[in-house]
Amino acid sequence: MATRSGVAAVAATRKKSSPKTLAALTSAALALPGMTSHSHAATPPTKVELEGGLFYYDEGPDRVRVATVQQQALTPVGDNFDVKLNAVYDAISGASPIYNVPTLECPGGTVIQPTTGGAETVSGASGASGSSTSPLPRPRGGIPYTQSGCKPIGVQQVISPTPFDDRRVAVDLKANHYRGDTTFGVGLGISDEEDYRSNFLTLDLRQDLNEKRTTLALGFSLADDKVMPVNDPGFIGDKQTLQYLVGLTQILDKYSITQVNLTYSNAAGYLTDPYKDVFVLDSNSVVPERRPDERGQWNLLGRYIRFVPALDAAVHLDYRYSWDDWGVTANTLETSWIQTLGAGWQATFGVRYYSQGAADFYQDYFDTLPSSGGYTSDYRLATFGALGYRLRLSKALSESVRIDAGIEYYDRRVGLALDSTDNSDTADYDYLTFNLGWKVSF
Amino acid sequence: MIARAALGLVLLSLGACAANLAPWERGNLARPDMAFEPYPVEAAFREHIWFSREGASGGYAVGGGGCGCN
Repeated sequence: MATRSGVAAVAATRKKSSPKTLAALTSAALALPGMTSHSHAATPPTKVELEGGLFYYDEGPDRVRVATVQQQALTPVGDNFDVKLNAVYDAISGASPIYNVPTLECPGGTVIQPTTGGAETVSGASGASGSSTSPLPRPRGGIPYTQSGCKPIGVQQVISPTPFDDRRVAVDLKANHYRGDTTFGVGLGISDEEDYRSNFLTLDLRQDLNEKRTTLALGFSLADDKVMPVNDPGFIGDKQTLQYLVGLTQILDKYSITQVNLTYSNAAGYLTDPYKDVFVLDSNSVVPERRPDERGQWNLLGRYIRFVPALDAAVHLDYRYSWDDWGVTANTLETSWIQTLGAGWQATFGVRYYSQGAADFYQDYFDTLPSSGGYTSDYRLATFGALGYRLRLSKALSESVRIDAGIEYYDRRVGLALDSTDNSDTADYDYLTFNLGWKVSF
Repeated sequence: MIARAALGLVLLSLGACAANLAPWERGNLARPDMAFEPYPVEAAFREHIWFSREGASGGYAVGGGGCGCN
């Protein structure tokens, strides 16, 4: 609490301040612990910071699990520069959903069930697409189910029967240059998997205005990605993504601050997921999904943080509205309460709500394939809602060492969507994450 | 020209929101828990999951690479 009492002591002497003492007090205030390194206005760091974590993501016994280790190192370089190196290693294993099959009730009351293990002929490390599987029994007399008056009475998700193993290594380097009220940043990075490679570049500019009460941010990034599906040797899909950001951060008063960001992202090229299929009822067959070769996504984000002095707590509130030209719109609301406790302890409680509407070309399965445009049954482009809850604890062991532990539970439910539809709940699932973190500065 | 004038007006009115806020009155705002991303490494991990599992993504910053993420 040195910071708070220090600030109070300084503020108490304010009335008598002459220009000279004003300057002295200003520099004294800026010398208080935490005053510079976390200021919202752009100031170069004064210490080396090593920050990292161990993370575990678990979707359940038959699905995806990811173990991650991440480490960052930030160092000031001279008075006006800093450099940050960030490295991530993911070990990924498990199996993913690939398509959905309906259960039908046909005239006369016959119920047609998907043949269990209908996906067993699907091969490939991540669940190949394009197999000649017939997930439903052969229709009587060869008349397609779409023409014999059969009605769907349920839908069942098919998970790839072939678990995959992969690892992802990502490294990026970022440098900032501080020049008066202006900060320029340049970043370069790569992300590498067995079947995916991404190279990216980031440029950003921050300009402090109104005596550092307002910050204008501009950002641009370019990513050049390659997809090399393990189920289609020799094929390479290319994708380029451009992202733009304009943002405004505003100090409202001595307890609160707000930020508004508008971002636009344009992706072009191979945007299809090579491991996702769709089921076509008319031909009783499974075919690879197909997505449009361009996607424009917008986000409008508003963030607000308020300090509550009486409780020594900070309240964070974020709202994001997202929309894109695939027809996906989403609302995200997240809040967290960061409570400072005694003896260097800090507890964070957070809740996040997410809701999206399906892409225009999403269906649980297809009667017939559309003659133009895309088609997908990827559960991530379906209508759904999700609630996440998290708890984290942080302990400052000394002025320069902090350790953290956290847990988060995420529950994805079709029924949680703002705009509930007749989509099936077959894709509902939940996950847990655990993390341990550390930060050392010197 | 009109756009510049409009931007100027917006910035002026924003400045008025926090008139006379001296540096030593910004102590609360400089606390680590008052940063937009108090725990950036954890934030990166969480955003990476949502990027892999949700149809909408981004808004917080630009940059970062894509992934296979199945």
